[in-house]
Amino acid sequence: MIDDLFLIEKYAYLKSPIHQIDARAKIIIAFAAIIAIVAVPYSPVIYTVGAVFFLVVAGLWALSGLSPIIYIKRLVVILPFGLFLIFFQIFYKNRFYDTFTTITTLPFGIEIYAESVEFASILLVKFLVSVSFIILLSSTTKTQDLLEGAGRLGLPAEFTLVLGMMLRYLYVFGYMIRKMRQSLETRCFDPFDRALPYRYRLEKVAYAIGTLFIRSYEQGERTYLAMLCRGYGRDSHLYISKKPLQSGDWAFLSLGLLLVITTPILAWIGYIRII
Amino acid sequence: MRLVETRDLTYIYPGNVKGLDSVNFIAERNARIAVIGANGAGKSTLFKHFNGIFRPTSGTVLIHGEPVSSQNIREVRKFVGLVFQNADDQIFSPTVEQDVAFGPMNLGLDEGTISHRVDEALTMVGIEHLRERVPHHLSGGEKKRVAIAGVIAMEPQVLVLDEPTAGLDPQGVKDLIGVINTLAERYGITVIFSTHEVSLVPEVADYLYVMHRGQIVAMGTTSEVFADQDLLTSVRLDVPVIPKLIHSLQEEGMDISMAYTLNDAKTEFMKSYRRRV
Repeated sequence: MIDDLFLIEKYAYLKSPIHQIDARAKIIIAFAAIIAIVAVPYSPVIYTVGAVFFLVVAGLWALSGLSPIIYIKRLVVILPFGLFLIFFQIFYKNRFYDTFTTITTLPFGIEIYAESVEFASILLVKFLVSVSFIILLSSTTKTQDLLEGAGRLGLPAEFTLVLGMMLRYLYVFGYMIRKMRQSLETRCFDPFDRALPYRYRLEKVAYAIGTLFIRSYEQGERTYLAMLCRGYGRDSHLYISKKPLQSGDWAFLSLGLLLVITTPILAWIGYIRII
Repeated sequence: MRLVETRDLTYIYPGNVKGLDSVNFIAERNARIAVIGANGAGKSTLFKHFNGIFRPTSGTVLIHGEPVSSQNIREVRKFVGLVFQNADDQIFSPTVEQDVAFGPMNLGLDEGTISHRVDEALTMVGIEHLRERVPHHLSGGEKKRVAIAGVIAMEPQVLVLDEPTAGLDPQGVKDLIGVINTLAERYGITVIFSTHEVSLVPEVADYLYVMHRGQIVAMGTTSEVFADQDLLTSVRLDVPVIPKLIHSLQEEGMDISMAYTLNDAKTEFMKSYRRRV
């Protein structure tokens, strides 16, 4: 399982017109789209906006040359978190509607309301569109570029430095865990081996986790001392070189922003409508 | 008897990086084999195939004549013990004794046997006095020996050591060479180890494999391999000082035979000196 960590960026390293766009432009468009879809009031207008936005994601995904299966796999991982919250909405009244019509009554006096079902489906659209933009962003941009892009957009140095170190050490500890696991395997230890007493296995796994904590603490100390040796202080920050946006990036950014802003407005005034 | 053998072993890392390329490796009983190569030559990758941590992309790994499979993986790991380069990756128990007992416990042995094996393993590497110690208070050389004891306690017939001398002080290296030689000579264990410190190879190895970019580029006895000094340099390795010195003296016209270990060199120098006097 830990081996998947090292492949997590596999798709972000591919080459395509979408991959090549500057991370800043992609970050701005992704967040603009999320803000736009979240800002659309709770009304059926959302379906039109959601459909257009989803088509945009689909188009960009096609341009990126990635398989739709990758999108679906990543979506499936995130989906349960949102679906759980959205599903329970159908049983509750909310402040966006004045009257509630009961569709059915379940045992224990639990009722399902038509308006709440509509509310839940609106939430679902908002959730799906937001998550899709994030999946598109993370699948076509290297984490290092995301970090630098965020830094160039003005994310404070404290955040970029800490996030940068987090990314670096995620992999360092990933390798550490892999090595430790291999060394346990070498000595015939399998935590799921029923031939060994349950308590024994639990104890050894606990020791391994404990050792990992101690090692991470020691690694932290060593790294921090090494940082101090190289003059780390309050004003230290991650080095991010200047990089002007290319004309292609500007075009993507302005077209994207135009689309993200005009779609909800046109849908709201009724100029475009799907449902 | 071939204890470990690979046939056209190729391994491609996820992400399409070639780790090994058609490697043919043979380890006979009671041999001391060194695998030398620069960083990233594929030594560790090869070793991880010897006890089934990695499975070949193509080709086969035969342990005691049997291909490694899910069915015999336990037997394979009992037969071939692997000591990792960084002892900290391996040692994780609160005391040295418990860490050495870890392997035998996993084999499901009874308490008497485990205790006997722990005693034996600690004696073999000469660290009986560290038994009750906490691993993170030990020095690098001591940790290394604990790691070796932890694997020896499983009584493997083949002991594979990944860069055993890395990060040790001269005395630590000397002690380790002693341990390796004892294991091979007194206990008949086949020892395979990797290193890029070529100078210690003649002291510990009978047979040598040279790896470069995932391939085996040369093999043979120490004298055979060290005779081709250009090859070693071309794969980012060095030639040990003694044969290098003798080689250059020979080129200067001195009448001296080639030697690789300190003792042999001394004998050859004395012979040459006596001839002149």
